[in-house]
Amino acid sequence: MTCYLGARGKATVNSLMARNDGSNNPAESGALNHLSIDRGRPIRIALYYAVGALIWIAISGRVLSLMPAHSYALNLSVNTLLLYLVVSHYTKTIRISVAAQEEALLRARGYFESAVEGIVSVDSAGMICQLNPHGQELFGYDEEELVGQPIEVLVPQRFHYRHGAHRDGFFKAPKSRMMGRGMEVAARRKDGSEFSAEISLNVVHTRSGKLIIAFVADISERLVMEREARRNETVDALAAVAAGVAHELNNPLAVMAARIELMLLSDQDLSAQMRDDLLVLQKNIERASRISHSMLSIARQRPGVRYAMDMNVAVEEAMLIVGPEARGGMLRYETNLDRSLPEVMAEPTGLEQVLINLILNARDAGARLIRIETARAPGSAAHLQLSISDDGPGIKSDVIAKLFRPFFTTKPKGTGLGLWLSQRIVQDHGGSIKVESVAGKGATFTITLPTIDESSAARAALPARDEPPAPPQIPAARSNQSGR
Amino acid sequence: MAAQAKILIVDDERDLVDAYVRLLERSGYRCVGAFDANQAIQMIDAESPDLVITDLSLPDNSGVEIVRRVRAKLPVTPIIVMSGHNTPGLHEAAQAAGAYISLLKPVSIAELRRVIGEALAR
Repeated sequence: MTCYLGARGKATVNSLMARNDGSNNPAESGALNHLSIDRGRPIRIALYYAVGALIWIAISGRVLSLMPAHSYALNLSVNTLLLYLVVSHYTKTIRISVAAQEEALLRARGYFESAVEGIVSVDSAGMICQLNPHGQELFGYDEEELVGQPIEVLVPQRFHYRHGAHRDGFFKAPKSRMMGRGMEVAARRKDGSEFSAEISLNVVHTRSGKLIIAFVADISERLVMEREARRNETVDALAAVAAGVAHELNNPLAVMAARIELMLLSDQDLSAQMRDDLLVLQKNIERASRISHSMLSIARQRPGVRYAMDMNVAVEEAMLIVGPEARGGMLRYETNLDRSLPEVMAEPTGLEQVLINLILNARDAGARLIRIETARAPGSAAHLQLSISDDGPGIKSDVIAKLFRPFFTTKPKGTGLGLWLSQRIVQDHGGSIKVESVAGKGATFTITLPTIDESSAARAALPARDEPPAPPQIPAARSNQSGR
Repeated sequence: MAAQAKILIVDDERDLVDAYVRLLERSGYRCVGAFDANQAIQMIDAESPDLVITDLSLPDNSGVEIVRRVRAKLPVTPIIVMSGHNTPGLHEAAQAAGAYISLLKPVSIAELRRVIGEALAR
C-alpha cells in the first residue's frame, strides 16, 4: 500500500479503500472517489483531521473497533491517512445516514399528517400514543387530550365490555387485518356522537414494545350512499312492475272512458242521479289514467313531453281538479301566487299530479285550510318555490323520515306511492321536495324547481321561436306536425 | 267536409274499437274498425280511409307496418298512433314511418276528437 502510494505519487481513495476492506462497494467509493491526496502536505492535513476524528471516534466508540484489523502492516503516515480516510468515510456515512434518517422522519411525518384516514397508535396497555390531524378532526379531540388515554374513549360505551378482550387478543397474536370485518364498526366522537367506521389494524415493533396502528375511516356517507343505491335498485324494479301494471290497465281504462262517454251522449233520458254517477265514474277514470301515465313516466321508459309552463296555472288546475272532491271535506284554499314567476320546463301532467297528491294528502290528514304559495326561491334566481301548507294535525318526526319511501302509508287504504311518485317526478324535473311539520300545527311541503330563465338545458329543449309551441292541451302526445 | 271523413280504427281491443266507432260516428264521421293487421290492410286497400287511428301494440308488432302501408298506399292520409305502453323506440319508429301524432293510452275522447279535427283540417 505504501508502495502504491509512492509509485503513483497519488493514491486515489478508491484504490486505498479497495485494498483496505477487500471490497469495492461502488456506492461507498462513489461517495469518495472525487478525493485524491498528495504525498506531502495532505498527509499532515490528514493527520490534523485525524486527531479531531480520533476524538470523535473515541466518543462514538463504534468506528474505532474497526481500526486494528485494517492497520496491521501500515506505517504511521499511511496508517494515519487510512485512519483519516476511514474516519472521514464513516463521518460522511454517518452524516449521510443522519440526513437520510431526517428525511425518512420527515416523510413519515408527512404520511402521518396528510393521511385522509385517522391514524391512532396504541401501546400494549391500550393507551393512545399518537393521533394524526385527520384523526383529531374525525374524533373531535386535540392530540394532547387523547395521548395517554385508553383507546376505549373512542369506542362507544356499549362495546367497552368486549373491546378490552379483543385488544389483548390482538396484542397476543397480532396480524394486520380489518377490524370487525363484515360488520359495522361504530366509533365515538368527543361529543358522544357516533360514526360508522372502517378500521384496519396493524402492528409495528418499536424499541419500547409493540404498537397497534389503527387506520380509521368515516364511512357513514358511503354506507348511506350504498343503502340509497340498493334502495334505488329495488325502486327501479318496482317501477318496472308498476309500469307493466299501468300498461295492462290502459286498455280497460280506455274502454271504460269511451263507454261512459257514450252513455252520457246517449239519446235516452238519464236521471240526474245517473248522470251524476257517470260523471263521477268519468272523473275517476281520468284520475286512474293520470296515475297510470305517471307510472309509465316513473319507469323512465318514455319521459313525458315537456313544455314551458306556468306553475301558477298548474296550481289552479290542480285546485280545480281536486276542488269538487274536496268540497265534501269542507276544504278551503288560500293562495298567494307570484304572477311574475318565470316558467318551468315541465311535464304538466306530472307536476299537476304532484300538486293533486299533496292537496289530497292534506285533505286526508284532516286539514280544513290549505295555503298554496309560489315565489322565487330565496337565494337562487334560477329556482322557484311552491309551498303547500295545511292546518292538519302535522306529521310526527318518525313518519317524516319514511314519508317518501315507496309503499309507506299511514292511510288505511293508501298505496304508499303518492309521495314517492311525487318526489320522483319533482326530481326528474331537477327539483327537490321537502317537508316540515310541527305536531299539531300542520305540515308544509315545499317544492323547489329550476326555472327556464336560468336553465340553459331547458332553453335548448324549447321549440324555436318561429315554430308554434307544441299543443299544451295534449300533454301525453308527441307531435310530428313539423316532420311531414 | 271533415264531418264526412272516413276513419279506420285499428285495435285488438274489440271493446275499444266498438266504443270509438260509435263515439266518432256520433261526431259525424264514417267509421270502420279492424282488429288486426290483416284486416287493417284489407280495409286500407278497400276503403281508402281519410284518416287512420291505429294501436301500435298489436300482436306481432304490426302497428308500425300498418303505418307504412297507409303511407305507401295513401300518401296524404293522416295517421294517429296510440299505445298503452312506451316501449322505447316504438313511438319514434311510428313517427319515422310517417305517423301524424302518437298518443299514450288511455286517450280522452275529447282529446281524440280534437286531434282528429286538427289532422283532417291540414
